[in-house]
Amino acid sequence: MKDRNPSNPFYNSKSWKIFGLTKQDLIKYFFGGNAALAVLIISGIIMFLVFNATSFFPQYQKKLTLYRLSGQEMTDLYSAQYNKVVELESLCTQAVAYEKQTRIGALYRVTDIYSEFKSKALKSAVAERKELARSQNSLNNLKSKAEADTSITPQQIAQAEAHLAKTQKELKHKVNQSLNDLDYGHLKNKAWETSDFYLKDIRLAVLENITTKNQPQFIKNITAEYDQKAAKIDALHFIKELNKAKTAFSQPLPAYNTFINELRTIASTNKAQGEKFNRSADTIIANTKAKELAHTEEERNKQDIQIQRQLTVAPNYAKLCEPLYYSIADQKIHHEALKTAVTNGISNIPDTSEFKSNISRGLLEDIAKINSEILPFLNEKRTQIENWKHHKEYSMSKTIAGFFFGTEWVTNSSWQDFYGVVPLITGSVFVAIVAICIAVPFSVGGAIYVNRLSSKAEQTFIKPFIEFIQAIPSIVLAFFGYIVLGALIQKYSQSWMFSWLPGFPVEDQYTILNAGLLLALMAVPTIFTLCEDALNNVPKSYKEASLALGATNLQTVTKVILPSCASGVIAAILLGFGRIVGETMVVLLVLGGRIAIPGSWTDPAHSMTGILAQEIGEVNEGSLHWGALFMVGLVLFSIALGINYISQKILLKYTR
Amino acid sequence: MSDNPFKSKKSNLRTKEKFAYGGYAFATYFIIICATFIFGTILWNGVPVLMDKGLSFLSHKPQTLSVLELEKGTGYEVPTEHFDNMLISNPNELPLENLEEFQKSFQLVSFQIKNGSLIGDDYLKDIEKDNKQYYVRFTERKFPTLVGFTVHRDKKIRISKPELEIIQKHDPQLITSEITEKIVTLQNKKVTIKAGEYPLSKDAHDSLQKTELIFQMKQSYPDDEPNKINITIIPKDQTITLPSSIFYAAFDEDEKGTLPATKVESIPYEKIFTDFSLTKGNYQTSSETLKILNQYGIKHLHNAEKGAVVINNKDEINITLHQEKYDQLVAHNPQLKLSHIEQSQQQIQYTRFDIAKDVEVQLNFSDLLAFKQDSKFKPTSEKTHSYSGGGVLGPIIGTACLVIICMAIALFTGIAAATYLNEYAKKGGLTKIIRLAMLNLAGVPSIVFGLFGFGLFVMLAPVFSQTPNTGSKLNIPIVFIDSKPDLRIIEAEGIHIVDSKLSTSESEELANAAGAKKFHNGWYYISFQGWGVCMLAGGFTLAIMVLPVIITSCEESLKAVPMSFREAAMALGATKWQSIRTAVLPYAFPGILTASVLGITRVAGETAPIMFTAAVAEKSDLPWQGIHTSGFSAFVDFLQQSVQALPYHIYTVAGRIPQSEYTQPMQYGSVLIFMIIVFMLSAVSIYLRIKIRNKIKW
Repeated sequence: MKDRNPSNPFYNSKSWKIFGLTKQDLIKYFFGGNAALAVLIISGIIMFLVFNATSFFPQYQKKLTLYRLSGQEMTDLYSAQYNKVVELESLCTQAVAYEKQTRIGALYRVTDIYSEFKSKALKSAVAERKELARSQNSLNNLKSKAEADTSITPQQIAQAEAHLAKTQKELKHKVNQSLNDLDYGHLKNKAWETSDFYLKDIRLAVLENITTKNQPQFIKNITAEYDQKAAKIDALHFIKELNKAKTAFSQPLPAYNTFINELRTIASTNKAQGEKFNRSADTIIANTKAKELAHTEEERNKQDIQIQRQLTVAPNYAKLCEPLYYSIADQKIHHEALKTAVTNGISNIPDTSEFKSNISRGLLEDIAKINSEILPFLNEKRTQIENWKHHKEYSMSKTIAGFFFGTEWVTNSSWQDFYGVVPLITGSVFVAIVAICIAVPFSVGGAIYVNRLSSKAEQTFIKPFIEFIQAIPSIVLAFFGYIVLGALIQKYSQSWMFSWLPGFPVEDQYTILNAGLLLALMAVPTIFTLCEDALNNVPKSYKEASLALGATNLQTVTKVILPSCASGVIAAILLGFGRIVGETMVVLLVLGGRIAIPGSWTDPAHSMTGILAQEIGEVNEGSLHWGALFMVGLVLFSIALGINYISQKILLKYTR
Repeated sequence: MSDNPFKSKKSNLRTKEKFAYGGYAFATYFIIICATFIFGTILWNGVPVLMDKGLSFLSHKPQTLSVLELEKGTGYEVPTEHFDNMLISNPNELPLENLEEFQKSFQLVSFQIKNGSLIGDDYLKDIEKDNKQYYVRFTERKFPTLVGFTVHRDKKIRISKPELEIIQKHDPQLITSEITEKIVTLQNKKVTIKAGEYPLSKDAHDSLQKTELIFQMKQSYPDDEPNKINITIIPKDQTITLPSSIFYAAFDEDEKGTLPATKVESIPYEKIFTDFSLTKGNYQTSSETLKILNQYGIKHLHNAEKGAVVINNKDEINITLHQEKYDQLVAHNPQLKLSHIEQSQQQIQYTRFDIAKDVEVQLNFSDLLAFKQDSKFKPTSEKTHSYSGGGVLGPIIGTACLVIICMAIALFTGIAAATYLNEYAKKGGLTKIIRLAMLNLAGVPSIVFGLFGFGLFVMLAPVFSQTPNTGSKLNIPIVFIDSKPDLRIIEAEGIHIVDSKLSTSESEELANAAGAKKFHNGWYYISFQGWGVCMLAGGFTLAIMVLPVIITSCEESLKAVPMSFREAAMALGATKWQSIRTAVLPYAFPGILTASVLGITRVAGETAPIMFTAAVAEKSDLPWQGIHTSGFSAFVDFLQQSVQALPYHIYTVAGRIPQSEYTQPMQYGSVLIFMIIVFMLSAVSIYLRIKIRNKIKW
């Protein structure tokens, strides 16, 4: 068939083969290879995370073993006792302070507001103040010269005086002007209680202070009034009791602190010796190699001296820990003193009913909670101390548990690093739950509205708008939360309208609530779109049947349509949850960065994604910290993948 | 009739219905209100910034902003260009008076440097700073027989006798002043110390480091406790000789934490010092003399230790310098051979102005430098705010580069994968696994992609290099090329040159021992050392992240092409590939375009994946500036550099620098620009989708 039409665009004159594969096969395999990349990448990510994370547990176990051998673990048991009582003491102090703040009211912050206003006013009138100083100087110069030099006429002096008067007036005017623009909205800390009653007087006082440099009478009055009120509050019987309790708690602490600190110094010296010894083997190897490669005799000698200077005597931990074992007997006295102090203190804690401040009441409740468990806690630590042995093996299972159930994430510490992932997981999950709780009503409600109840015109406007929300980059939302929303929440949460909410008023700018609100907005488009799809997929006959049975429109939606696409809605919510858990920038900037298990939704916290973004750039490859971060990455990856997998499964099931 | 079951007393169904309806409507509009509030805040604060700064916000790089307090004064003179910049960067009206523009002329000299000339290091750098097109990849250094330097003030110098003799031998005419000699008696100490354990302070420890004493520290000294006294072990009895200064630091009996010496013996010796003075003026001396004088505070721009650079430029490039700089260059480098010397004049537009009142002025760093040329310009205080001045040119370009690289990779792979899945794949094991992988890939958090990209591309990916890193995971030699890198690169990057007979591992160890980061032994390597923080790594990371999105949407658009197209092509005798190429892909193209715009929107907004793979906060050059190689290696160098990126820039100015009112314009300005870009992209994708949906109906 040589006479095939050559004008046919598909005419193929040549065909060839490589390794038995035709061109068509090759093209197919090339495409297939690209598609298989997806598999390669996901398995690559898993392998990579696992590979980098595997070194973590053995290394961590070694570190923790040294932590035990050196006796640091034991002194931490002492410290745990100490810290618990310190916590009680500081709770008492805080409770008194907050109660004072509440009872004194707006007066409490007047002097603070005064100094903030003053610094702002001073700043705005820099030029005028300098001018004033200059004219004052030139006048003084003239006057002092005039005594010796007769050529200076009184006219010149009068002129200078007039100028001085003018500049004074200008300064006053400028300060007045800038003060009139200042109000409580300009304060840095929006949580301060303020009252319009004082605003005018504060402004006047600032003006008086700047122009005359005297302490204004108003501020003197305020200070006196404050002292008087504070003294009155101090005289209240329950505050007296609380203060007495505080004194009781703090009584044995200084002596115990000195006792512990001595032991801690010993333990940390032990640890330093252990670390030095562990390192020296590597250093010797490196130096020996350098010696072999050295060119000059001098260089070789130098390396030789370095090698001989390495510590080769293994530390004798039994001997090093002797002082710690001796301390157990001495600690008995401190232990008993703590117990008596705590019992004394507890008996003095007043009832919450007379406290006016919500925060104080909350703090007292915390004290009560600690009170109920502190004596057993102290005794438990004492038993642990008595049974402590430096040579007991630190098992692998305990190391693994220490990571997954540890409540401390401490890095770059001179004492001991701990990698416990619990605060990070709770932070991540807590903020995601808050966000989902906020997002679900709006996005599901919105989907129902747009899909079933709204008009056509509304639909064509709302749907693209929500797509636009999806396009907002996360860093923009994070920025908004960091600069604007934090201050807004802090300010408006002070209002009485929200006081019934748990955790309100909000003390910090960057909290779970703040991040949760932003993440909710981020989750809305995902949930909304998927929900709408699910609603769309409900057959029309369901609606018709329901309406025909006499159900109203609303009844149809809530009783027929929603149940029939429930699995789709659940999958949508789960997918939204997955997206939020993996979100980085918002939690990095807005969550507050406090590594502790959050107690309420208005506390700052930290998250897994946040810690990765914050720390991975600063650690050495292959170090313990590096391994710990990759472990966190692995945990995060598993959580996100698990949620994703489940929701996809649900989605798949329901579309069938 | 109260027992009628169908009778309800009161039907509140209608009100209930209305309430529920209102509730749903509220939910919907609340979302919209919230989003509008956010847009509104950013617009409200951002638009005034853009109005103030105008186009300069887009055409300037981010800079440090200085806030200065200026006292009132007259006759400030600055170039008009920088004066205009000052007006732009100050949102408030400045109290300026008596503005006057005038021309100021400068003497310039243009010339060429002949090959083989010798020039001091920093003189060369000075020339290169003023003439960006001039760059010398020198391969050789020489000690010149004559070097010049200027002594600005009469200077007294004390050097040792042997040093003086060297100077007198090489430059007998240099020292004209009187030379006085002084004999000083110094002591060495011979110390014996017994074996044992002793407490040792950090100061004593540091001074003992230089001696030959063998001691073993039980602990190292922590940085935060400089006064700590640690225990040291002296393993055997030793006798050492040391200078008295070290002796008093380490063996002083009155001090705490010093070692007890059992036997001390003094060995006195004499040293002769000589004093002379140099009067101010220009000098020309030999390199040896300069080497000695260099240690005694003579200021110059030569490299006294390594010698001068030998110029070896292939092209003839004109260099322009200011007259004073030119004079200094010629005076200090006697072995510099110049040609084509031409004098010229340069006119620069200047503005003269008075400041009527004490005022606070905000200036960008580059403008501040120009202002400081004016001797009258003396700010009473100066505070700096990093990244808060200038504009966002660098970040925008960086983001564009990242997006282009990412989309090139993602589209190539994505379209191929989608074609396979839609045209070739049969339902079966492999396809199922691929789809599962894609589904899961879509759910991976972006920070995990960042982690993956950091570990793989930044730390592990292979590069071809003549000078591999010593810390590389694996170095595989490929081919022996007997060519050294240029001396300039060797010096700049600290490359350790090793004998070519040595094996890879030996070379690595040798370089490591020398403290070098890179080595060269003549072989060309594949080195698994990673690409470093660079555009390529960031582009790959973003591409991996966006791949599922691209594949899914490309597949959708392929699916939309009717089956009959393929059948028709096949019926005409086309092969499978021909039918795909001619009958399927062209018709899927609009859909693929939409997919790519969607992908770009997603990629441009991401911060977490580029945080440690590509982005840096500070970079003074645009990506194409500062590359001195040519051809393919220039392209590689271009890809292997870190960039600024808009989202990362926002993160930096919002979260990593202290907040103040001066940083706020930059924050809102860059956020607004970013939002505008992202929204334009997403509007384009929405528009394209609607258009395609309406237009193409098979």
